[in-house]
Amino acid sequence: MRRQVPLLITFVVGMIMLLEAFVPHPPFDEINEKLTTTFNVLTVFAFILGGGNLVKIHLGQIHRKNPGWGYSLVTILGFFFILVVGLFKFGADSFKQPLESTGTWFYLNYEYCLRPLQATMFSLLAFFVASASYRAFRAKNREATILLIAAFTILLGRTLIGTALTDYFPGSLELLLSTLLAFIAKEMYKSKQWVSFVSLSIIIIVVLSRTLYGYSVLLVNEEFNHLTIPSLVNWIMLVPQLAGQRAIMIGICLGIISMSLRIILGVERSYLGTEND
Amino acid sequence: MAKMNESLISSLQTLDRRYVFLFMVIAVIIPFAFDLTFDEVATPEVQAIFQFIEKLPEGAKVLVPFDFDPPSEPELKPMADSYVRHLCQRKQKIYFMALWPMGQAETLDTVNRVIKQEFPQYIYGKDYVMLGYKPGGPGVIQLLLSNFKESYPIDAIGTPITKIPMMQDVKKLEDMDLILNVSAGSPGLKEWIQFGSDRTGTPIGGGVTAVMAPLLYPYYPKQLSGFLGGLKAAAEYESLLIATYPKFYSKDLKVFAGIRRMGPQTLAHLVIIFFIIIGNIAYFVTRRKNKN
Repeated sequence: MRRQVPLLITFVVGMIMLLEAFVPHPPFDEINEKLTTTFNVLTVFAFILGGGNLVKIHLGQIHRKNPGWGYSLVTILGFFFILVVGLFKFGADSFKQPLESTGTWFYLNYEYCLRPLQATMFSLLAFFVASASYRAFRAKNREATILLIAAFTILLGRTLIGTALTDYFPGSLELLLSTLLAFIAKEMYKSKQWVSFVSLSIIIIVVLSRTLYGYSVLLVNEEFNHLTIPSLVNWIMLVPQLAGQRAIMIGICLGIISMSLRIILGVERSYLGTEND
Repeated sequence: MAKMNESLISSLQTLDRRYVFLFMVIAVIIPFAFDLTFDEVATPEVQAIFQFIEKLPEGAKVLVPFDFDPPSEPELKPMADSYVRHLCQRKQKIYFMALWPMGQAETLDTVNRVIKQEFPQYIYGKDYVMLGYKPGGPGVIQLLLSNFKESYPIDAIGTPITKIPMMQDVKKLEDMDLILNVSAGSPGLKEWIQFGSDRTGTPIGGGVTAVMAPLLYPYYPKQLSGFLGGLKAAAEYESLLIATYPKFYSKDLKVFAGIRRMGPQTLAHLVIIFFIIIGNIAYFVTRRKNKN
């Protein structure tokens, strides 16, 4: 009985929520509204649960004088300080004034403690990203090289140097690309991979012809869109990146659907805990 | 000579990271010290949301949830401020709210710096309202679909919603003309698209951090009218504002933080590019030597 009732509640509520998505009419929409309100109320209680848990863990750390208990003390003091300051709106002219108004103790704490502390923590990322890029971004194999080229292009394209480079030297990116492809084609010729060599050669000829045609158009003072780093960045974001994202999203959605169905139908019961709980 | 080269390559391979940090510090300080800025060219997704707001009629209702906190402020605050500036220039009604605990503090900061100082004619309750923070994430969005008052019986100041003039014709999310969410994670723009915009058909745009931007491309342009991804997009939006409203704005670095911060970001990126290049050169030289 202890397990059957929660399973029944889960099934009924799950089915109602599911039906509401397809039939947004009474009574399903009304029931859904009530259930959502209940969910939002429960979320507020989760704050009490979370706060209680935080106090319990850190008081235990302090009581046992575990290594780093000083940090726990700071956490507890900070927690109760902001709780009292927020609940009683210290520094506010009236109880109607918003908690975050200038002059309240909450605001002072937010402006002069929380904001600089969190900003400092986040700013450190710039240094670690730079250091990690230096150490990890190595063209060790084919996959790492592709990743490196993509990241390098996006980094360059996201700065104005990328725009400037291809604006001042139109077609430079195509020439660079052709040189790279020619280098790869040379290796293929050496290893006698004829199909790949011929395919690459055709690509090189097409790219070079387009670039040269572009120069002839520019010479007679007409406009021609040579490949630029920003347009290449846009292409990376809108084609290969997007394809990868979509594949991941579809995979996640299918996972969520199957997990939800397992929970609604009572196949997945881990959320109920074990018999001993 | 060969010995010297060898020792140089080996020192590059095991370069103390404090040198990288030092270069980074210099790259960030120099542009700030000399007010180094660059001209920005707007990308299609930035252009799209800018034009969308331009085309909205005067008095259109725009829901602006601020779902971020201080760690993401350097990236997101410039875009949040620019959106509010633009909406005020177009005389649209702004409904602020937050699904993040610190969102209301961020809202108040923008209201104090942008609306109260640059648009004193904007009246609270008539032209803009702060609904405040609500816990529940997607649950709150879900409730807004059918009943605004159920979620927000009072505003952030404690005034009953029924007494706020601009809330009189707002019953549900569908009544909004645009959702403009600035977010640093979850709940954020993705949740607003999935639970809010998609179900009501209300157009949506917004701004996110650079690391979040790739996750939103699948929604653009059909489900997402346009968005700003990271500081560069914020600077692009600011440039569009300056170009469109030259009477009101010039390249004032105190007002347009996005353009100002792009200087350090550009140089920092160049430092990273430089270290990636020398790291790879050192790697290839060492590998060739080991092969021989």
